[in-house]
Amino acid sequence: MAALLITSPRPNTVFTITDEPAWPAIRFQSNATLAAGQKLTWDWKLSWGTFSRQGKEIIATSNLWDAQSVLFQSLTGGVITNLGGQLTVRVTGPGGTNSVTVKIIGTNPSSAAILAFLAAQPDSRGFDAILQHESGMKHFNAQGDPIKSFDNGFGICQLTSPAPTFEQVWNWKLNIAGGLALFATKRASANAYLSQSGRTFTQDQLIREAVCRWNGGAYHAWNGKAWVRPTTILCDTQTGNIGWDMTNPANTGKTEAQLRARDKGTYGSPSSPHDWQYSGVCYADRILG
Amino acid sequence: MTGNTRGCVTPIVSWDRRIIGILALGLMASCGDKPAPPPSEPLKALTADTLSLPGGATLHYAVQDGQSTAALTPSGTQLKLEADHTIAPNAGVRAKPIGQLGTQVILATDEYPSRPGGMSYCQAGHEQFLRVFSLTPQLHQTFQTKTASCIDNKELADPGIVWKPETATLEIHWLTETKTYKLDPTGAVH
Repeated sequence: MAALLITSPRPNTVFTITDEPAWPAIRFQSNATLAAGQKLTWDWKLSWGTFSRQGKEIIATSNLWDAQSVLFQSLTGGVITNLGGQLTVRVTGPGGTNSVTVKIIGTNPSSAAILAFLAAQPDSRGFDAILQHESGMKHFNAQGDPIKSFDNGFGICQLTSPAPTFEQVWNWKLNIAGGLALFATKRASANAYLSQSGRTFTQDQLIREAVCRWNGGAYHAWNGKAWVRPTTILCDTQTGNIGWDMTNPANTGKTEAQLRARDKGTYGSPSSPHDWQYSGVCYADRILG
Repeated sequence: MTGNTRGCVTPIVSWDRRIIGILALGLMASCGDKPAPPPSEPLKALTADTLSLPGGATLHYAVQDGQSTAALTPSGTQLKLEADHTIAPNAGVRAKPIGQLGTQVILATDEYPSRPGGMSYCQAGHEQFLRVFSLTPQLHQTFQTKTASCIDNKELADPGIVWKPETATLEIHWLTETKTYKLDPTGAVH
Protein backbone atom coordinates (compact mmCIF):
# COMPACT_ATOMS: atom_id res chain seq x y z
CA MET A 1 0.00 0.00 0.00
CA ALA A 2 1.32 3.43 -0.96
CA ALA A 3 2.07 5.89 1.79
CA LEU A 4 -0.82 8.25 2.47
CA LEU A 5 -0.11 11.70 1.05
CA ILE A 6 -1.95 14.97 0.64
CA THR A 7 -1.34 15.65 -3.01
CA SER A 8 -3.03 19.04 -3.16
CA PRO A 9 -2.64 21.83 -2.21
CA ARG A 10 1.13 22.12 -1.98
CA PRO A 11 2.60 23.17 1.39
CA ASN A 12 2.60 26.93 2.00
CA THR A 13 0.08 27.65 -0.73
CA VAL A 14 -1.57 31.04 -0.11
CA PHE A 15 -5.34 31.39 -0.32
CA THR A 16 -7.06 34.74 -0.24
CA ILE A 17 -10.34 35.78 1.37
CA THR A 18 -12.20 38.18 -0.89
CA ASP A 19 -13.08 41.74 0.09
CA GLU A 20 -16.72 40.63 0.55
CA PRO A 21 -15.41 38.80 2.66
CA ALA A 22 -15.87 35.28 1.22
CA TRP A 23 -13.69 32.30 1.92
CA PRO A 24 -11.61 30.80 -0.89
CA ALA A 25 -12.17 27.29 -2.17
CA ILE A 26 -9.65 25.03 -0.40
CA ARG A 27 -9.87 21.33 -1.15
CA PHE A 28 -7.38 18.88 0.32
CA GLN A 29 -6.86 15.93 -1.97
CA SER A 30 -5.21 12.69 -0.79
CA ASN A 31 -3.88 9.75 -2.77
CA ALA A 32 -5.90 7.26 -0.74
CA THR A 33 -7.95 4.56 -2.40
CA LEU A 34 -10.49 3.52 0.19
CA ALA A 35 -11.81 -0.01 0.32
CA ALA A 36 -15.16 -0.85 1.88
CA GLY A 37 -15.13 0.02 5.57
CA GLN A 38 -12.02 2.17 5.37
CA LYS A 39 -12.06 5.79 6.47
CA LEU A 40 -9.92 8.89 6.46
CA THR A 41 -9.67 11.11 9.52
CA TRP A 42 -9.06 14.77 8.77
CA ASP A 43 -7.76 16.87 11.67
CA TRP A 44 -7.54 20.58 11.06
CA LYS A 45 -6.29 23.58 12.99
CA LEU A 46 -6.62 27.18 11.94
CA SER A 47 -4.50 29.61 13.95
CA TRP A 48 -3.32 33.19 13.89
CA GLY A 49 -1.35 34.65 16.77
CA THR A 50 -3.08 33.67 20.00
CA PHE A 51 -6.29 32.76 18.20
CA SER A 52 -7.07 29.26 17.01
CA ARG A 53 -9.82 26.84 16.09
CA GLN A 54 -9.53 23.13 15.44
CA GLY A 55 -11.66 20.17 14.61
CA LYS A 56 -11.87 16.72 13.15
CA GLU A 57 -13.90 15.04 10.46
CA ILE A 58 -14.09 11.38 9.47
CA ILE A 59 -14.91 10.62 5.86
CA ALA A 60 -15.56 7.16 4.44
CA THR A 61 -16.77 8.01 0.99
CA SER A 62 -14.04 10.16 -0.49
CA ASN A 63 -10.35 10.88 -0.43
CA LEU A 64 -11.12 14.62 -0.61
CA TRP A 65 -11.66 17.10 2.23
CA ASP A 66 -13.34 20.38 1.38
CA ALA A 67 -12.09 22.94 3.87
CA GLN A 68 -14.46 25.58 2.66
CA SER A 69 -17.63 23.64 3.27
CA VAL A 70 -16.45 22.03 6.50
CA LEU A 71 -15.00 25.13 8.11
CA PHE A 72 -17.81 27.26 6.83
CA GLN A 73 -20.23 25.16 8.82
CA SER A 74 -17.99 24.29 11.72
CA LEU A 75 -16.66 27.77 12.46
CA THR A 76 -19.62 29.94 11.80
CA GLY A 77 -22.67 27.77 11.48
CA GLY A 78 -22.82 28.65 7.83
CA VAL A 79 -23.51 32.28 8.52
CA ILE A 80 -20.38 33.88 7.24
CA THR A 81 -16.89 32.86 6.24
CA ASN A 82 -14.05 34.81 7.66
CA LEU A 83 -11.17 33.31 9.59
CA GLY A 84 -7.61 33.30 8.33
CA GLY A 85 -4.07 32.50 9.34
CA GLN A 86 -2.23 29.17 9.18
CA LEU A 87 -4.41 26.20 8.29
CA THR A 88 -2.81 22.86 9.08
CA VAL A 89 -4.61 19.75 7.90
CA ARG A 90 -3.55 16.21 8.82
CA VAL A 91 -5.04 13.14 7.25
CA THR A 92 -4.84 9.71 8.87
CA GLY A 93 -5.96 6.43 7.35
CA PRO A 94 -4.79 3.34 5.56
CA GLY A 95 -1.24 4.06 4.50
CA GLY A 96 -0.32 6.26 7.47
CA THR A 97 -0.60 9.96 8.08
CA ASN A 98 0.40 13.17 6.32
CA SER A 99 -0.11 16.87 6.94
CA VAL A 100 0.06 20.10 4.96
CA THR A 101 -0.01 23.72 6.13
CA VAL A 102 -1.34 26.52 3.95
CA LYS A 103 -1.85 30.20 4.56
CA ILE A 104 -5.08 32.16 4.35
CA ILE A 105 -4.88 35.95 4.01
CA GLY A 106 -7.41 38.75 3.67
CA THR A 107 -8.25 41.47 1.17
CA ASN A 108 -9.07 45.05 2.13
CA PRO A 109 -12.48 46.30 1.12
CA SER A 110 -12.72 49.67 -0.56
CA SER A 111 -13.54 52.74 1.50
CA ALA A 112 -16.80 52.99 -0.40
CA ALA A 113 -17.72 49.42 0.55
CA ILE A 114 -16.91 50.11 4.19
CA LEU A 115 -19.02 53.25 4.28
CA ALA A 116 -21.86 51.55 2.45
CA PHE A 117 -21.82 48.71 4.96
CA LEU A 118 -21.74 51.16 7.84
CA ALA A 119 -24.55 53.27 6.41
CA ALA A 120 -26.76 50.20 6.39
CA GLN A 121 -26.27 49.64 10.12
CA PRO A 122 -28.69 51.31 12.55
CA ASP A 123 -27.48 54.31 14.60
CA SER A 124 -24.13 54.42 12.85
CA ARG A 125 -24.11 58.17 12.25
CA GLY A 126 -21.09 59.66 13.96
CA PHE A 127 -19.23 56.37 14.04
CA ASP A 128 -18.59 56.70 10.32
CA ALA A 129 -16.76 59.96 11.01
CA ILE A 130 -14.71 58.35 13.78
CA LEU A 131 -13.80 55.45 11.53
CA GLN A 132 -12.71 57.70 8.69
CA HIS A 133 -10.67 59.85 11.04
CA GLU A 134 -9.02 57.06 12.98
CA SER A 135 -8.62 53.95 10.90
CA GLY A 136 -7.19 54.79 7.52
CA MET A 137 -10.02 52.53 6.33
CA LYS A 138 -7.73 49.50 6.33
CA HIS A 139 -8.36 46.15 7.96
CA PHE A 140 -5.41 44.16 6.58
CA ASN A 141 -1.75 45.02 6.24
CA ALA A 142 0.32 44.57 3.12
CA GLN A 143 0.82 40.88 3.92
CA GLY A 144 -2.92 40.27 4.19
CA ASP A 145 -2.90 39.87 7.96
CA PRO A 146 -5.28 41.92 10.15
CA ILE A 147 -3.75 45.16 11.34
CA LYS A 148 -2.54 44.87 14.92
CA SER A 149 -1.54 47.90 16.97
CA PHE A 150 1.10 47.98 19.68
CA ASP A 151 -1.57 47.75 22.36
CA ASN A 152 -3.30 44.74 20.80
CA GLY A 153 -5.90 46.68 18.90
CA PHE A 154 -7.09 44.56 16.00
CA GLY A 155 -8.47 45.40 12.60
CA ILE A 156 -10.11 48.44 11.15
CA CYS A 157 -11.70 49.43 14.49
CA GLN A 158 -8.57 48.58 16.50
CA LEU A 159 -10.72 46.57 18.90
CA THR A 160 -8.97 46.13 22.23
CA SER A 161 -11.43 45.97 25.11
CA PRO A 162 -13.57 43.96 25.22
CA ALA A 163 -11.02 41.65 23.64
CA PRO A 164 -12.13 40.84 20.10
CA THR A 165 -13.00 37.36 18.95
CA PHE A 166 -11.08 35.51 16.23
CA GLU A 167 -13.98 36.29 13.92
CA GLN A 168 -13.90 40.03 14.72
CA VAL A 169 -10.17 40.09 14.11
CA TRP A 170 -10.44 38.60 10.64
CA ASN A 171 -13.81 39.67 9.32
CA TRP A 172 -13.94 43.41 8.71
CA LYS A 173 -17.72 43.51 8.88
CA LEU A 174 -17.77 41.82 12.26
CA ASN A 175 -14.95 44.11 13.36
CA ILE A 176 -16.99 47.17 12.45
CA ALA A 177 -19.98 45.66 14.20
CA GLY A 178 -17.83 45.37 17.32
CA GLY A 179 -16.80 49.01 17.11
CA LEU A 180 -20.36 50.04 16.48
CA ALA A 181 -21.52 48.15 19.56
CA LEU A 182 -19.03 50.16 21.60
CA PHE A 183 -20.26 53.36 20.00
CA ALA A 184 -23.81 52.36 20.86
CA THR A 185 -22.94 52.47 24.56
CA LYS A 186 -21.72 56.04 24.11
CA ARG A 187 -24.81 56.96 22.17
CA ALA A 188 -26.97 55.55 24.97
CA SER A 189 -24.99 57.51 27.57
CA ALA A 190 -25.32 60.64 25.45
CA ASN A 191 -29.05 60.15 25.22
CA ALA A 192 -29.38 59.67 28.99
CA TYR A 193 -27.25 62.74 29.66
CA LEU A 194 -29.02 65.06 27.24
CA SER A 195 -32.49 63.96 28.28
CA GLN A 196 -31.93 64.38 32.02
CA SER A 197 -34.54 66.47 33.81
CA GLY A 198 -36.73 66.32 30.71
CA ARG A 199 -34.36 68.48 28.68
CA THR A 200 -34.67 68.46 24.92
CA PHE A 201 -31.95 68.13 22.29
CA THR A 202 -31.46 67.69 18.57
CA GLN A 203 -30.17 64.67 16.69
CA ASP A 204 -27.05 66.61 15.78
CA GLN A 205 -26.42 67.30 19.46
CA LEU A 206 -26.90 63.61 20.22
CA ILE A 207 -24.33 62.62 17.60
CA ARG A 208 -21.87 65.25 18.78
CA GLU A 209 -22.35 64.18 22.39
CA ALA A 210 -21.77 60.52 21.48
CA VAL A 211 -18.64 61.26 19.45
CA CYS A 212 -17.27 63.38 22.31
CA ARG A 213 -17.91 60.59 24.77
CA TRP A 214 -16.12 58.11 22.51
CA ASN A 215 -12.98 60.11 23.27
CA GLY A 216 -14.01 61.02 26.81
CA GLY A 217 -16.27 63.34 28.76
CA ALA A 218 -19.41 65.24 27.99
CA TYR A 219 -19.68 67.74 25.15
CA HIS A 220 -22.63 69.89 26.03
CA ALA A 221 -23.28 72.02 29.08
CA TRP A 222 -26.74 73.20 30.17
CA ASN A 223 -26.99 76.98 30.25
CA GLY A 224 -30.36 77.02 31.95
CA LYS A 225 -32.30 77.02 28.70
CA ALA A 226 -30.50 74.82 26.22
CA TRP A 227 -27.55 72.51 25.69
CA VAL A 228 -24.56 74.48 24.43
CA ARG A 229 -20.94 73.92 23.66
CA PRO A 230 -18.89 75.04 26.64
CA THR A 231 -17.15 78.34 25.98
CA THR A 232 -14.44 77.46 28.45
CA ILE A 233 -12.71 74.94 26.20
CA LEU A 234 -10.30 76.27 23.59
CA CYS A 235 -8.97 73.70 21.14
CA ASP A 236 -5.65 73.40 19.40
CA THR A 237 -7.13 73.08 15.95
CA GLN A 238 -3.91 71.61 14.61
CA THR A 239 -4.32 68.51 16.78
CA GLY A 240 -6.93 65.83 17.08
CA ASN A 241 -8.11 66.36 20.63
CA ILE A 242 -5.89 68.71 22.58
CA GLY A 243 -7.39 71.77 24.22
CA TRP A 244 -7.20 74.10 27.15
CA ASP A 245 -9.56 74.88 30.01
CA MET A 246 -9.70 78.63 29.83
CA THR A 247 -10.84 78.90 33.46
CA ASN A 248 -7.40 77.66 34.41
CA PRO A 249 -5.51 80.83 35.36
CA ALA A 250 -2.49 79.57 33.48
CA ASN A 251 -4.53 79.69 30.26
CA THR A 252 -6.97 82.54 30.80
CA GLY A 253 -6.62 85.42 28.36
CA LYS A 254 -4.25 83.65 26.02
CA THR A 255 -4.90 82.84 22.36
CA GLU A 256 -4.74 79.44 20.73
CA ALA A 257 -1.51 80.42 19.03
CA GLN A 258 0.06 81.55 22.29
CA LEU A 259 -1.01 78.43 24.15
CA ARG A 260 0.14 76.16 21.34
CA ALA A 261 3.51 77.84 21.21
CA ARG A 262 3.84 77.41 24.95
CA ASP A 263 2.66 73.79 25.14
CA LYS A 264 3.33 71.96 21.91
CA GLY A 265 6.68 70.78 23.17
CA THR A 266 4.92 68.77 25.88
CA TYR A 267 2.30 67.15 23.65
CA GLY A 268 4.53 64.16 23.15
CA SER A 269 5.06 63.56 26.86
CA PRO A 270 1.63 63.71 28.47
CA SER A 271 2.89 62.33 31.76
CA SER A 272 4.85 65.50 32.40
CA PRO A 273 3.11 68.46 34.09
CA HIS A 274 1.17 70.61 31.65
CA ASP A 275 -1.82 72.92 31.38
CA TRP A 276 -3.37 71.35 28.28
CA GLN A 277 -5.71 68.41 28.29
CA TYR A 278 -7.02 65.73 26.02
CA SER A 279 -10.53 66.90 25.30
CA GLY A 280 -13.48 65.02 23.93
CA VAL A 281 -15.00 68.38 23.06
CA CYS A 282 -12.05 69.17 20.80
CA TYR A 283 -12.19 65.65 19.39
CA ALA A 284 -15.83 66.05 18.39
CA ASP A 285 -15.15 69.51 16.95
CA ARG A 286 -12.29 68.14 14.92
CA ILE A 287 -14.18 65.16 13.56
CA LEU A 288 -17.60 66.69 13.00
CA GLY A 289 -16.53 70.23 12.22
CA MET B 1 -14.88 64.53 33.27
CA THR B 2 -17.91 62.37 32.79
CA GLY B 3 -19.49 63.42 36.06
CA ASN B 4 -19.52 66.36 38.36
CA THR B 5 -18.37 65.77 41.87
CA ARG B 6 -19.54 68.40 44.24
CA GLY B 7 -20.76 68.84 47.76
CA CYS B 8 -23.28 71.30 49.13
CA VAL B 9 -21.33 72.30 52.19
CA THR B 10 -18.54 74.67 52.89
CA PRO B 11 -15.51 72.45 52.90
CA ILE B 12 -13.16 72.26 55.80
CA VAL B 13 -10.83 69.95 53.98
CA SER B 14 -8.83 71.79 51.37
CA TRP B 15 -6.87 70.76 48.34
CA ASP B 16 -3.57 72.45 48.69
CA ARG B 17 -2.62 72.43 45.01
CA ARG B 18 -5.52 74.40 43.69
CA ILE B 19 -7.50 75.56 46.69
CA ILE B 20 -9.00 78.56 45.03
CA GLY B 21 -10.07 76.71 41.92
CA ILE B 22 -11.62 73.84 43.77
CA LEU B 23 -13.44 75.98 46.29
CA ALA B 24 -14.74 78.32 43.67
CA LEU B 25 -15.62 75.83 40.96
CA GLY B 26 -16.13 72.53 42.65
CA LEU B 27 -17.68 73.03 46.02
CA MET B 28 -19.11 76.39 46.91
CA ALA B 29 -20.83 77.03 43.61
CA SER B 30 -22.63 73.75 43.51
CA CYS B 31 -25.90 74.35 45.31
CA GLY B 32 -27.43 77.28 43.57
CA ASP B 33 -29.37 77.29 40.34
CA LYS B 34 -26.43 78.22 38.21
CA PRO B 35 -25.36 77.22 34.74
CA ALA B 36 -23.70 73.86 34.55
CA PRO B 37 -19.93 74.04 34.76
CA PRO B 38 -17.74 73.07 31.87
CA PRO B 39 -17.98 69.32 31.53
CA SER B 40 -14.27 68.79 31.27
CA GLU B 41 -11.94 69.98 33.95
CA PRO B 42 -8.22 69.90 33.42
CA LEU B 43 -6.54 66.81 34.78
CA LYS B 44 -2.96 67.81 35.09
CA ALA B 45 -0.41 65.12 34.76
CA LEU B 46 0.03 64.42 38.42
CA THR B 47 1.60 61.29 39.76
CA ALA B 48 0.71 62.42 43.26
CA ASP B 49 -1.72 64.73 44.99
CA THR B 50 -2.28 65.85 48.56
CA LEU B 51 -5.32 66.75 50.64
CA SER B 52 -4.77 68.94 53.69
CA LEU B 53 -6.68 67.79 56.75
CA PRO B 54 -7.63 69.57 59.96
CA GLY B 55 -4.91 69.78 62.54
CA GLY B 56 -2.14 69.98 60.00
CA ALA B 57 -2.31 66.40 58.82
CA THR B 58 -2.25 65.53 55.12
CA LEU B 59 -3.56 62.68 53.01
CA HIS B 60 -1.10 62.06 50.23
CA TYR B 61 -2.18 60.15 47.10
CA ALA B 62 0.37 58.57 44.82
CA VAL B 63 0.52 56.08 41.98
CA GLN B 64 3.50 53.88 41.36
CA ASP B 65 3.66 50.94 38.97
CA GLY B 66 -0.10 51.06 38.62
CA GLN B 67 -0.75 50.84 42.35
CA SER B 68 -2.55 53.78 43.94
CA THR B 69 -1.89 54.52 47.58
CA ALA B 70 -3.01 57.01 50.22
CA ALA B 71 -0.70 57.91 53.06
CA LEU B 72 -1.57 59.88 56.17
CA THR B 73 1.01 62.17 57.67
CA PRO B 74 2.35 62.60 60.22
CA SER B 75 1.27 59.10 61.32
CA GLY B 76 2.86 57.49 58.28
CA THR B 77 0.03 55.03 57.82
CA GLN B 78 -0.26 53.98 54.19
CA LEU B 79 -3.20 52.35 52.44
CA LYS B 80 -3.30 50.58 49.11
CA LEU B 81 -6.31 51.87 47.21
CA GLU B 82 -8.28 49.42 45.14
CA ALA B 83 -8.66 50.56 41.56
CA ASP B 84 -9.33 48.51 38.43
CA HIS B 85 -8.24 47.69 34.89
CA THR B 86 -9.77 50.84 33.44
CA ILE B 87 -6.98 53.09 34.70
CA ALA B 88 -4.27 54.08 32.28
CA PRO B 89 -0.81 52.65 32.81
CA ASN B 90 1.48 55.24 34.39
CA ALA B 91 -1.57 57.26 35.32
CA GLY B 92 -1.45 60.32 37.51
CA VAL B 93 -3.98 60.91 40.25
CA ARG B 94 -6.02 63.92 41.23
CA ALA B 95 -7.67 63.96 44.64
CA LYS B 96 -10.62 66.12 45.53
CA PRO B 97 -12.19 66.67 48.95
CA ILE B 98 -15.90 66.07 49.37
CA GLY B 99 -16.34 66.65 53.08
CA GLN B 100 -15.77 65.26 56.52
CA LEU B 101 -17.64 63.99 59.54
CA GLY B 102 -16.18 65.32 62.75
CA THR B 103 -12.44 65.38 62.54
CA GLN B 104 -11.80 61.70 61.97
CA VAL B 105 -13.85 60.75 58.89
CA ILE B 106 -12.91 62.06 55.45
CA LEU B 107 -14.77 61.78 52.16
CA ALA B 108 -12.77 62.34 48.98
CA THR B 109 -12.52 61.28 45.37
CA ASP B 110 -9.47 60.13 43.44
CA GLU B 111 -9.46 60.39 39.69
CA TYR B 112 -7.23 58.91 36.99
CA PRO B 113 -6.99 59.04 33.21
CA SER B 114 -8.76 56.15 31.51
CA ARG B 115 -6.83 53.37 29.84
CA PRO B 116 -7.25 54.35 26.18
CA GLY B 117 -8.42 51.88 23.59
CA GLY B 118 -8.10 51.83 19.84
CA MET B 119 -9.28 54.73 17.68
CA SER B 120 -8.71 57.23 20.54
CA TYR B 121 -11.38 55.49 22.64
CA CYS B 122 -11.46 57.15 26.08
CA GLN B 123 -8.13 58.87 25.48
CA ALA B 124 -9.66 61.96 27.12
CA GLY B 125 -11.69 59.96 29.62
CA HIS B 126 -11.38 59.67 33.38
CA GLU B 127 -12.02 57.05 36.03
CA GLN B 128 -13.07 58.29 39.44
CA PHE B 129 -13.60 56.66 42.83
CA LEU B 130 -15.32 58.02 45.92
CA ARG B 131 -13.86 56.79 49.19
CA VAL B 132 -14.58 57.28 52.86
CA PHE B 133 -11.61 57.14 55.21
CA SER B 134 -11.53 56.91 58.95
CA LEU B 135 -8.41 58.24 60.60
CA THR B 136 -8.83 56.26 63.82
CA PRO B 137 -7.45 54.13 65.26
CA GLN B 138 -5.35 54.37 62.13
CA LEU B 139 -6.07 55.32 58.53
CA HIS B 140 -8.43 52.85 56.93
CA GLN B 141 -11.03 52.91 54.20
CA THR B 142 -14.66 52.24 55.14
CA PHE B 143 -16.33 52.67 51.76
CA GLN B 144 -15.59 52.99 48.08
CA THR B 145 -17.61 53.22 44.92
CA LYS B 146 -16.76 54.10 41.36
CA THR B 147 -18.44 57.37 40.49
CA ALA B 148 -17.28 58.08 36.96
CA SER B 149 -15.86 55.95 34.18
CA CYS B 150 -15.43 56.52 30.49
CA ILE B 151 -14.76 52.86 29.90
CA ASP B 152 -17.59 51.52 32.06
CA ASN B 153 -19.98 54.33 31.07
CA LYS B 154 -20.59 55.47 34.62
CA GLU B 155 -21.78 59.00 35.05
CA LEU B 156 -23.19 61.21 37.74
CA ALA B 157 -25.91 63.80 37.41
CA ASP B 158 -25.32 67.41 38.39
CA PRO B 159 -24.64 67.75 41.28
CA GLY B 160 -23.30 64.24 41.53
CA ILE B 161 -22.09 63.80 45.09
CA VAL B 162 -23.81 65.67 47.90
CA TRP B 163 -22.53 65.44 51.44
CA LYS B 164 -24.76 66.72 54.23
CA PRO B 165 -22.69 66.78 57.41
CA GLU B 166 -25.55 67.94 59.61
CA THR B 167 -27.30 64.61 59.00
CA ALA B 168 -24.20 62.60 58.09
CA THR B 169 -25.88 61.77 54.81
CA LEU B 170 -24.12 61.03 51.55
CA GLU B 171 -26.16 61.27 48.37
CA ILE B 172 -24.87 59.96 45.05
CA HIS B 173 -26.96 61.26 42.19
CA TRP B 174 -26.67 59.12 39.08
CA LEU B 175 -28.42 60.14 35.89
CA THR B 176 -31.07 57.53 36.49
CA GLU B 177 -31.26 57.18 40.27
CA THR B 178 -30.09 58.55 43.59
CA LYS B 179 -28.49 56.44 46.29
CA THR B 180 -28.42 57.71 49.87
CA TYR B 181 -26.05 56.50 52.56
CA LYS B 182 -25.76 57.29 56.26
CA LEU B 183 -22.40 57.50 57.95
CA ASP B 184 -21.88 56.83 61.62
CA PRO B 185 -19.17 58.54 63.65
CA THR B 186 -16.74 55.70 62.96
CA GLY B 187 -17.05 56.24 59.23
CA ALA B 188 -19.07 53.09 58.66
CA VAL B 189 -21.43 53.56 55.72
CA HIS B 190 -24.97 52.19 55.85
